Amino acid sequence: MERYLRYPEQKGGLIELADGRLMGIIRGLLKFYSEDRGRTYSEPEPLLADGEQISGFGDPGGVLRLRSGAIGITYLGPLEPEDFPGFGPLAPGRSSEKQRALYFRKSTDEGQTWSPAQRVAGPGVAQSYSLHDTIICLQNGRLVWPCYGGVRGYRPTNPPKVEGLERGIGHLWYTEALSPTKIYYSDDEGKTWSVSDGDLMLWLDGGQGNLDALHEPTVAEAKDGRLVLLARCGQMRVVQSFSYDQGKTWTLPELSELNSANAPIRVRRIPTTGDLMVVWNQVTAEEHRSGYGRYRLSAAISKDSGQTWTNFRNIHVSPGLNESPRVSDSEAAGFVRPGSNAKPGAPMPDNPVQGYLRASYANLFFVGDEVLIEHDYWYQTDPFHSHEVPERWKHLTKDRNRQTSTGHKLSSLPRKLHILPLSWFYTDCSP
Amino acid sequence: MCQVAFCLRGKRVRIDHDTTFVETREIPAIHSGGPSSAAGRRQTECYKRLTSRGLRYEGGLTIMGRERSHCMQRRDFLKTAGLATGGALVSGTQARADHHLEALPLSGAMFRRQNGQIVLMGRGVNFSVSDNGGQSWSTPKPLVSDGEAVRADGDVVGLLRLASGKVVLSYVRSRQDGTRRRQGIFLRTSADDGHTWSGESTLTPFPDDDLSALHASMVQLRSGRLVLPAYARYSHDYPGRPRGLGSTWLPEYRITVILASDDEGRTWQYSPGLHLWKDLGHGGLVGCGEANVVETKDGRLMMLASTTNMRMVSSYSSDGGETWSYVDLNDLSTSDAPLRLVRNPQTDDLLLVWNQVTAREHRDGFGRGRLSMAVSRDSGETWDDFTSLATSPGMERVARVVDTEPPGFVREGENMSPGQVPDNAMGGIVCSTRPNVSFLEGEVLIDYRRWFIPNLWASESERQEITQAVHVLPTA
Repeated sequence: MERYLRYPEQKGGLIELADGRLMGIIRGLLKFYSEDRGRTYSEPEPLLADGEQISGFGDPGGVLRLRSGAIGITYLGPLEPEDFPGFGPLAPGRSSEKQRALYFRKSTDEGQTWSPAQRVAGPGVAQSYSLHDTIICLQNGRLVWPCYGGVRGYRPTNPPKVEGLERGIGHLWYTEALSPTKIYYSDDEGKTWSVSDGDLMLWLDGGQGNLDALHEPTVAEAKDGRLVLLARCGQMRVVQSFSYDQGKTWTLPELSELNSANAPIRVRRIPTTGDLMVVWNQVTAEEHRSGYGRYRLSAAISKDSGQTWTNFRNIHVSPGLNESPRVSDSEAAGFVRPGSNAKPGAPMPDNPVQGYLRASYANLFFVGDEVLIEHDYWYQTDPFHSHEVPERWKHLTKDRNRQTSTGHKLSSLPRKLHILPLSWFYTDCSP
Repeated sequence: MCQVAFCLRGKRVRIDHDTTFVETREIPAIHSGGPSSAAGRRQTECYKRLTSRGLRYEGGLTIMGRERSHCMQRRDFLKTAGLATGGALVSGTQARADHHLEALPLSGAMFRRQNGQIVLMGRGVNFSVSDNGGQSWSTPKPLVSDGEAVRADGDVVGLLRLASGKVVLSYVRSRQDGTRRRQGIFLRTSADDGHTWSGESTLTPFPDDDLSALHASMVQLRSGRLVLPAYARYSHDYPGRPRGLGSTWLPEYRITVILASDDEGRTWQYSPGLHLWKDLGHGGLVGCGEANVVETKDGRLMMLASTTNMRMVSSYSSDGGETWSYVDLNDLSTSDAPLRLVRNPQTDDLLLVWNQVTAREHRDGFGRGRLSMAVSRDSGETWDDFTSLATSPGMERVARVVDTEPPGFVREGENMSPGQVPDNAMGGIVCSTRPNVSFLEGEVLIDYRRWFIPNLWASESERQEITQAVHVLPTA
């Protein structure tokens, strides 16, 4: 049923070309091909425009097929002060001079050449960003790109200890600022862009609980025409919001029924059925406190346009965790600090791998009757890296020197690919 | 009632220990857009109505006493003790004919020219001058530079004389950028006492920025560094939301960015964003905007801002505003309304003016009904000398408000139904808000905008008796 394959070690997107090959675009704006429906991949190579490599940074890299048949890519690219004349010069020597913006380009020759870059958002004191490969094309041709970003939060001098520690693991151990979500959309295949009304954020308990961030949103067009936005937050649930006008206005974000770590969620429309599929880290608050927040990766399907979810499946479960496909949380939604019950120096876990295998930052693609799900995949002895990694797991640890054979930098984390028949997600619907 | 008397500017002044202000003036304000704006026209009409009824604005008159009658009408209240909390609107029979009209016609910022003339600038940009120490003011008119009006639909966020002798003017103007409106902060300097101005430059570093700041909040540090506590604002006016008042009826988040310049405004740097991470995250994120920054006597910078959680937040910087201590709540009760924090140049003590209210008062719609003042002699660590400058009918007159409710989110007016008239003697609310403090040779001038509304849900066009109330106190 399931095949584990290596996948280019970087976040990105994947589309099917006219000649039947798959083409991937990954962070750093490298491209690769697969001629066997995702079983093997070519070595990533730079994406060129006019003979020069297109500079792209960070996660926002993505690729999609447009309604016209052209291909679009998104990325975070550099710019110089000359690119925005008339705005305030920064004081000399400020690192913040290095500004970036979100860009879109289009190709009408299956990715051989690319149009000039079109700036979609940024630069700003409030930085714009997106999870990788989140842009989608609606049935009517509109491009919708959910992004987020805000003013970078301060790091206090002499910060207070949190949970008795100077520093914990993961997020929510310091004063992260809120990064509101904005949805950009284009009706002319990326020439001009508009932005949704308002800034989406999580208003806890109608404001009584103040605010929480709504990070790394993804969007899918449901079969009833609404857009479904899912995103992460710090409250142990996936956040959801809906748009009934193709992305201009959005409902008040609310917590969904999907329990989740503060980790990325990916939602896509299943082309053949119109249902929605979600892939995310399905964990309980207690698991999250223990440091297991990203060690179960699950999938589910919604047949009612994102209102309810069924057909739960586990894509990956680290040894030591409950393998039930539906892991409901009996705790009410609320703020949970990842790994707050974990302490440095704890003994190696007593499980078959003497550690944990993490799976997060997933993406999924539908190719024919198969679903390709890829995610980062790495080994840790414990959340604080208190012990030496056993030899047999060293190939799954963080390595900042990963690069292509041509010297282009890859992610420090390995990635893993699952190829699954779509029918597997529909058989035996009981969770 | 304890009273003392002394002379100020040749006028005999009495002090009531309860109301405590020394000298008050009632002044017609001109609001955004200047005298030709709708608000300005309403103001002018207000002034005409008052004068036609035998009422007169008079400067230098001390108003004493307190609200005496439970059945007092609003007009009576405004004529007598009620406005003792903020102004000196008096009947014609009480007015002294030899007194001229004193007017602070703009809400903004001011500086003093070398020849002693005071220049006041506000939205527009409109400006007015006073040649008699602020006793009277010229009719506001648009500021022109090189034959063109200096445009600002937002506040004048800075107008100050620099250590070098130059004058810097900074203001906010919005622009349409595709489908959204963005605010930018602009700057001009003058080397000739504000008679001519340089070309416009911008503090807003990038095209995507949407920054604003509280009026008159730019300061110059002893080092010469210019500092402006700007903020970005985010909100989500989602479809079908319940309609209430203020910023607590929809998700809103503000984050403060400290802009700083070491070359008199030519180039700028910005700090990471300041906000409240309440209870180390368990209490959610709380926005922080319209902040004030002041240089304390111990050489630090102090940032102070109001929040939606009924307390202020504060933070300190020991490196001129580049890094900041953990932003935390203090024990000063406040609604989510602008406050003013300044340093007394003579004593280096800090002076704070703000809407000091309880959570209950805020729910009842009186979030801007009490305006208070306090002094800190230890760089903002503790506060003393609490004083009430203005108190709306329906509120208790107290100098120090200690709220027994813990800090928490409070929705403005949530105890009131739309259109509900408050059950008090005036059948309405007197709002006193957006204070500013100016130091003028031995005197400190505290001005704030005040209006009457018959109920909390009244629209801006239903505001009545809009004034720019002023208190004048000796700096010492």
